[in-house]
Amino acid sequence: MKNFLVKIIKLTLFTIFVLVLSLFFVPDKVSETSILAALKDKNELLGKTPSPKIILVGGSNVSFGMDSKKLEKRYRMPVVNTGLHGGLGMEFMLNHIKPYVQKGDVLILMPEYEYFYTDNFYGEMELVSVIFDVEPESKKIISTEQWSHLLKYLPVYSAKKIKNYASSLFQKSADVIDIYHRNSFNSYGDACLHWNLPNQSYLPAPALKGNEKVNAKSIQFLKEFKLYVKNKGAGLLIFPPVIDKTSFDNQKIIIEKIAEELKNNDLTFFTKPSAYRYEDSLFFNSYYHLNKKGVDKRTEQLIRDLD
Amino acid sequence: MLFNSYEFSLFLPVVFILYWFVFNKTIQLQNIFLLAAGYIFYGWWDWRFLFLITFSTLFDFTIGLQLEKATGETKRKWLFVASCIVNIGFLAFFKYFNFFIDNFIAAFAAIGYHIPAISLKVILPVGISFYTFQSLSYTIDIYRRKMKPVTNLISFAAFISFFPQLVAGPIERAFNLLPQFSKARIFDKTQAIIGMRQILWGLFKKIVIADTLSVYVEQIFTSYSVLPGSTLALGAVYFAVQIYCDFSGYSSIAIGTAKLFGFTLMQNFNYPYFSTNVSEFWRKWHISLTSWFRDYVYIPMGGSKESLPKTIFNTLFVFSLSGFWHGANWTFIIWGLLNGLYLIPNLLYHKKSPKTISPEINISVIGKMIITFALITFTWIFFRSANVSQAFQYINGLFSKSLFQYPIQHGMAITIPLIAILFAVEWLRKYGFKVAEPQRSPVYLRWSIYLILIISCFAFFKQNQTFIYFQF
Repeated sequence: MKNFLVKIIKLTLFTIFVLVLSLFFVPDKVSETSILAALKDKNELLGKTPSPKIILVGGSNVSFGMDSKKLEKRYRMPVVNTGLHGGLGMEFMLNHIKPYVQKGDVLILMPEYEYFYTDNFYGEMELVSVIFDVEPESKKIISTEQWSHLLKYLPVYSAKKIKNYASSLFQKSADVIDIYHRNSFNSYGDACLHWNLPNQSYLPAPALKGNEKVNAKSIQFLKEFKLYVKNKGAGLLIFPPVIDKTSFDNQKIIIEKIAEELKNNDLTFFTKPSAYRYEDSLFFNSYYHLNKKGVDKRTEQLIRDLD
Repeated sequence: MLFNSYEFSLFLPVVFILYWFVFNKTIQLQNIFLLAAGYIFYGWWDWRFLFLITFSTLFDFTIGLQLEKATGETKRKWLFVASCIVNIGFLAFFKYFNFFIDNFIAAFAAIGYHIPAISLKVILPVGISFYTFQSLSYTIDIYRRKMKPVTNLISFAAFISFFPQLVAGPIERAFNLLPQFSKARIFDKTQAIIGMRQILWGLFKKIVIADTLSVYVEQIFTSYSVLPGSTLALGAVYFAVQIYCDFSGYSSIAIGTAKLFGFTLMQNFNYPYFSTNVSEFWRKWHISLTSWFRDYVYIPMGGSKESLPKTIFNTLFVFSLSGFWHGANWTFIIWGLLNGLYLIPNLLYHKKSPKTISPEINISVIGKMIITFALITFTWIFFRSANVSQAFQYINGLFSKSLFQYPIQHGMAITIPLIAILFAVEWLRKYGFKVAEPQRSPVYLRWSIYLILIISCFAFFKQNQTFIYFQF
């Protein structure tokens, strides 16, 4: 038995050693061109855009769901769409944006519902990619609790780096600009490459049991963020994300619970969530990703709500 | 709890350590612990399922004891019938209720009577078909006086809920597995190492091959109406490999895990895609289910000992039943029936297929393997399609002029090498070259292979990828 356990432990340690080496030293070309690399471009855009400005914040429902030009035209204020990927998590997303918030700025937060009842709040594999390969300096804003949630993604991410590296040795990948490419955004930060493409099939958000609870941590965090924004002399408006009808109906109970909890904590949604429950045909390839028709509808509705 | 999940990667070592170091004082203690582990493993999906498995266990345990006590044949028969009704009744209710109601309504509608639709929202308990059959085999064997009932409820409950094979088999026979719960278990390092290798290879088949192929299979089977025949052929081959890797991967992990706890489970797959005829394929595919149907349905019906028409009927009936076991859908029944039809030429010409394949490999043998693979792959189209109409449309698209076009790329750069690796490794293993066996290769080579397999599993890992056979 002892001999067997020693062998297993040795193999485990050897595997961990290889994975740690890969995590820090294997170059990852994918992260240079993937959608996550656009984080650098969005940082740059935030840095150079003068205040007061409108900052759109959220996951891919924001990046794939806004036409910022229309918003800019209506309010005569520069607009930056910082939406990127839901997998970055709300904690990272908001902490990351803090240094860019200036007096007079208006932050429009449209958080995906998953942030409020799943571990998605802390971030997923995409966040691991960001903190190890896209923007390693962001490690310093990752909390201990976040690290504990990200731990499970580390071996998978590290192994994927080895796989990507090995594949790059055998085949030279053509740098095709697809909808998840760094260059698929317009000058405002809106993902726009899919605007001319036909809808693709996708699975709606699954039906939930109904006993899911709102994560108190996410509400507390949002309260603190609101206070931070206020102290900076900026404003924070929280809007529900846009979501397809099927997914909304599948998740109606938790959505109502989230709205209620936000209301109880003085973080009320600017409009009721059902206002952004759109027909499934307005979605491109996910229950959060609008097609061009959907983008127009949502932007116009947002303007009407703000007016 | 899925084998390919973070939860299981913690569950297994914890259970292993506690089993061998804390609960190793007596067999009874180890069995109690395995029972608890089995219930945690199963209740992880939905704790309500535990009521069903507990009831099934208590019921069949009691029937077993009563069968032994009963002296008159009539009473024995009634006890046996009660066991069949309860076990199959559960299966029928949870799995087939809506199917029967829908077909009943459709049949009446066809003759002009419209009955209002009734549909129950029944949650299908994971693995119900597997443990029901396992439990049923126990009472059948006692009824047939092939074995004595166990008097220890804990042993029996641990046997029914043995977590490595609880939800997707192998469907163990009571006479093989149950006695192992009454024997002292001594840790066998060699068996444990073999078990670990089986787990690793099983995970590789599932995570790396099956889950990768599943993406393309889904794409092809969803958009079949606009794809050329060649791509549809590719989709069918992908699915043939996917289902094999998914299911045999699960079996490998189950058998390997059982070895870690000192148990030996039956082999469930024996390189079926290297079979030279359909009959041989069915002796090597899902062996535990095929042999269950053979022993408890086919042979009692008369098997091949009766007249030719009766033998043909028995064969078709058992294969259709096997299809129906997989799910409440006509696609599965047609799949089963088609496999049964493949066997009819053998029956007509009274040709017995050889029990063992000749080790000599030549062009003719390889040709037969390819033909058998093609025939089996064709049946998988029914198995994978959402309904019969889709299956026929898929086949229609497949056998069109576009069959000879170059297929539209569906991940071929990754899938073809993976399929090639699978077949190469399986071929080498089948014909005697045991990859990564200590006596065959040096330590550095073995460890390199282990590392590549582990890294690949991580690299291809996707969360919440369930096993196809869980739905059955």
